[in-house]
Amino acid sequence: MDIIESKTWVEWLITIAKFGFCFVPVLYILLLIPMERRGAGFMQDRQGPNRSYIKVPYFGKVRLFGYVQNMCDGTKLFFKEMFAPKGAKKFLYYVAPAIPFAIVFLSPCVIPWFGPMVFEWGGKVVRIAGPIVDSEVGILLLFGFSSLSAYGAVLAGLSSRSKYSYLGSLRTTAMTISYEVCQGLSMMGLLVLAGSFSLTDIVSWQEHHVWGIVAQPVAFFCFLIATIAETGRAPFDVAEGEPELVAGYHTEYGAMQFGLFYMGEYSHICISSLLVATLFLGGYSVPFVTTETIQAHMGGSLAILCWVLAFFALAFLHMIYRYSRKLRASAQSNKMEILQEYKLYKGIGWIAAFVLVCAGIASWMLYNPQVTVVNGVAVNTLGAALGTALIHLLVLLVKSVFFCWVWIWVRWTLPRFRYDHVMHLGWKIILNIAILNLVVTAVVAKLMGGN
Amino acid sequence: MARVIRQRPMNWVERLYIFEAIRGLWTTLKHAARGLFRYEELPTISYPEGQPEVRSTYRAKHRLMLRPDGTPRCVACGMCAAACPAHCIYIEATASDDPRIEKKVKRFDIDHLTCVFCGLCVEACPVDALRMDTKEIIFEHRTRDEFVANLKTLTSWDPKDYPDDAQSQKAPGGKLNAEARKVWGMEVKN
Amino acid sequence: MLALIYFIILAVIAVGAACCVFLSKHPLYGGLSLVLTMLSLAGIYGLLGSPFIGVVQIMVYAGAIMMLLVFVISVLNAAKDNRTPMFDGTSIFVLIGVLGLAGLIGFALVLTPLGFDATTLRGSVEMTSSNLFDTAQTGPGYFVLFEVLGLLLLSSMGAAVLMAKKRLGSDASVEAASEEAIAEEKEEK
Repeated sequence: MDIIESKTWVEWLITIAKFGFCFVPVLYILLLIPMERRGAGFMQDRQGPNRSYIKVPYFGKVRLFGYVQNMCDGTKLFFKEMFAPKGAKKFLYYVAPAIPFAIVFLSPCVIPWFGPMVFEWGGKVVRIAGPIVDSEVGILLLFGFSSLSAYGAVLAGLSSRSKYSYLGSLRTTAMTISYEVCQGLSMMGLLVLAGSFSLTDIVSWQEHHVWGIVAQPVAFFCFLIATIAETGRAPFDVAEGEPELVAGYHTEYGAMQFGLFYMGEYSHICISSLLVATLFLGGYSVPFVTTETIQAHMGGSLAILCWVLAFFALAFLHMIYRYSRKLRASAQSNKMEILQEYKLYKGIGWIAAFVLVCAGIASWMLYNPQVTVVNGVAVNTLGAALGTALIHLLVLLVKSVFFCWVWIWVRWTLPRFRYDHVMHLGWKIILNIAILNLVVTAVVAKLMGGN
Repeated sequence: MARVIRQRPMNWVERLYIFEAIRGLWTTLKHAARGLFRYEELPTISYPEGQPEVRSTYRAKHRLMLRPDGTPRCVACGMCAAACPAHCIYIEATASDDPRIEKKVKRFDIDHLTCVFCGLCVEACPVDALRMDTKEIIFEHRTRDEFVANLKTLTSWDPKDYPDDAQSQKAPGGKLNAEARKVWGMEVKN
Repeated sequence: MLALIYFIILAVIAVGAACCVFLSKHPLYGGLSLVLTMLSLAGIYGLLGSPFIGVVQIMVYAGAIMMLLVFVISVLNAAKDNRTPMFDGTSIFVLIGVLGLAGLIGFALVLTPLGFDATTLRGSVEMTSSNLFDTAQTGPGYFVLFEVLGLLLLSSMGAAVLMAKKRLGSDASVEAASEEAIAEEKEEK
């Protein structure tokens, strides 16, 4: 119980609040599914699903750019009947979908969401680490979890007593295991450079030297390809290739059990994109600016953040106005309904832009916290530390959303590989490039006198 | 004789796959950016609310042209029924009141459930009585019988829908009859 | 105190799952129970202040080797194994042997002072690597042993590839390939 008493209540509050990050992958699903559907639509010159709406009394229909479609799908999946096929191993059949989904909640624990917060509170210097569990074997833990999540596919294939499921699970397992090796080996070069398994150390190394993508471009590509393959998405989705196996290992699943597999897949994308962003794109670190600079000019940094967001709000407004002008001129019979809905968005957009600009000006003029240096470590006030954490978090999220987009982009561009081609690519090409990269990195690092 | 298409063998850059994949990614990125930033330029029509523009040459639902006095132009020759590949036209004829015309149509049914919209009936008609320029492309009825267009439905079109067609404007009857006769180049003896 | 509670929970899970391994009728359930045992053992490693060993346990044993084992069990036709009796004449001796061993280990554990304190690191990355590779500190013994082990794994990998080559194109080649994966991964650690 001495651990509890040694911390101040603010420290406890932040430590507990950090557990909220466990839900980030699940929240990403809300972002990823519309992004996938509408992104696919845009790539194929379609509009994508945009018809479902919520009827708001005295206002009209609110479509939220197609976001309502998710809620409809989720509700449908949630209220469908759960069933098991005849002859299935009931226990394993019901447990299997929960495994990948449960692991989704564990994986974000080791990802550093922000730089270490150092601030003064109650006469004491408080230090809070970025990840929920600041483990020195963070990345290994992440890999261990992701290798465990393949059990979901295996058990689903075995227990549902269907040939398609079984073949799908065989393929999934073989592919997951083989591409995990590629993933691990391509990452090793960076670990050699950073000299640590801890993700916090890797990010701080990148912050002080160069980003991983500059230091290890080959490893970046190998890692990206292996990670896409490991999430089992196109062009590597041989495990659920519709022409050969009906839907792979989740052929026999329906309702929310299928929904769990589906959500597990998307959350896996989220975790993988966070991992790629953390390993190769500097994680939470802001490009070209050090954390010390941000903390020294806290008000200005927050102002710039607000103004960037305000710019996005204005760009959104511009697009809405342009589209509603075009719509007003068209002969669509429901255009008044849509224009009514757009009035709402215009209002929100203007309010957001105004508030953001005002907040930016206010923080620029009024907020200038002092930084004290204790034992060579910069110690901030609580507000400045929270502001830095906020900026770091947003930067990390932007980077990972970009990689999520890469996932979707690749999926809707490249055709599916044949199964033996996938194995060929993994074992004969990427693995060898990764080993070569590791050897070269180790030799160069030794010659340069690094770690 | 089979035609042999010689395909250029891939050079080594293309066989590496990665560069071609990046080219493909660039193409989809362009399309996605257009969809996101120029949403209004997407060719999709949100269908029931926004209707597609149908040209008058599109082979849509049939109509029967009318003489200036309001009777159908059809002379019940049966050429359309003979030309129809789907056998969806049924014609019954009676003697015409007009001494210059032998027969007039008593019953003219087109079963739109059987019709293949090939337009051969329009081609076959010797008096330009049958046309397919109504631009009506939606067929929705409650019973099968309603899909069968009869003489009444085929002739109940509105001249206002065909502003470019002089012959449709002149019919039926009314004070414009004289001009209509000029258009037709015929005199109808009352 | 807290660590002791965690230890008791994990130990109960580990022992219970281990019992399930030999009590379960279907070998698939046995394999899955073994995975559970390994996971809880990894937790106990973490409690003992050696997270590296625990994570490697999860990655290599639970993640890769047991995955393959489950894989193999599923490929084998396990339906016939259900009819073999769980106990027969020889199992008495086995039971006595197991109980004797368990008693010995329990005796040893009771005598050994074990502090469940996660703050004192016993098997971190640095300590493991310095124990293995720092020849100045611990002599060349572990280092040579490690290299020899690596060579052994490499040769076994070569043999596996050669054997799989004979039946190339069948599923066996894929499995052999996956076994290589684990060998490589081990080497990397």
